[in-house]
Amino acid sequence: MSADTEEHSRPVYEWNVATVGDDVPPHDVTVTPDLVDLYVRGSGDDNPIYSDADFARAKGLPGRAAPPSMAIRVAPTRRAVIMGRKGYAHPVRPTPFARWECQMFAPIQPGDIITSTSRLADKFEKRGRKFVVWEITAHNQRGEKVLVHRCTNMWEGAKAEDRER
Amino acid sequence: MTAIHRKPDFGSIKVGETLPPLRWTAGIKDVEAFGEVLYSKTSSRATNPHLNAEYASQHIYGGLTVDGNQTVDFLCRMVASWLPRNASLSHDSVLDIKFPNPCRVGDTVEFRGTVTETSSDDQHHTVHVDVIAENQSNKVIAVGRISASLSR
Repeated sequence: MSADTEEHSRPVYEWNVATVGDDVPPHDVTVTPDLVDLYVRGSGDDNPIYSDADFARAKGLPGRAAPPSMAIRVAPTRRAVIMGRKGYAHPVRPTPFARWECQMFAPIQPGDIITSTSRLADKFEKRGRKFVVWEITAHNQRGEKVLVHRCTNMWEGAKAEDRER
Repeated sequence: MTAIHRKPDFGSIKVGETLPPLRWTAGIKDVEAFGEVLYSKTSSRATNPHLNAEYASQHIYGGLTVDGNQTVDFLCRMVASWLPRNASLSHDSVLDIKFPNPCRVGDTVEFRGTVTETSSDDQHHTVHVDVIAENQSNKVIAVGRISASLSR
């Protein structure tokens, strides 16, 4: 059975089967200089802290840094993997981003290997909609905690009026 | 984008002060360029509501929307480019942003911020900025707080 066929044969990870504590083993992402450069080009953000090591050092950093908005790339939620481990498939519908909380403890730099863990940290209902909260904790290769971020997604409860919002 | 005049030092930052706003029209080229950064090569474009117009048209918002991470990126840029040069969002910072309405491709968005609190300890100064992003219809697409640290 192909991976694609297998994916489609699984039940969908709907809100009622989502269980707080669903998780994945740690995952590594290497922050290559190219990845940070790609960010600088793609975002149009010309802050030299992301491109100029001397400038970053002058600001007290050990070298140039990755921006906070790269957290989701270097420490991804990996929610499809969480679902797959449990025998479920990701819903084939958008799951809108409702809230992002991120605490940055230490700078992420080119050359770092970021190891992250991801888990379903919470689920709740609000105004007839159902939400899930993924929590990702990331450390660098020296064992320093670099960030924790929480992504809240609306999982179920789309309404007709959403098309006009 | 409008130019930002950076604050010279922590002492010059006052509670109640407003940041110079940023304005951005969410063009599909910008969204695709940011997608190159955000999404891994293996992620599926077929089910991406920010890049696949046909897929997006069939689902909740009925059209392409901007990834919330890109909205956050502009809010961070507004704050980081206004703060003194010894400030950083890359460490000892906290961001908490809610997305009450979608940002649609084609929207013109204004990003604004107001300093609500400043504090200091032995190692850092901290500046708390309430941030908001509204589209051309005055709908709030993002609202929250960014707290940035400044080395002493």
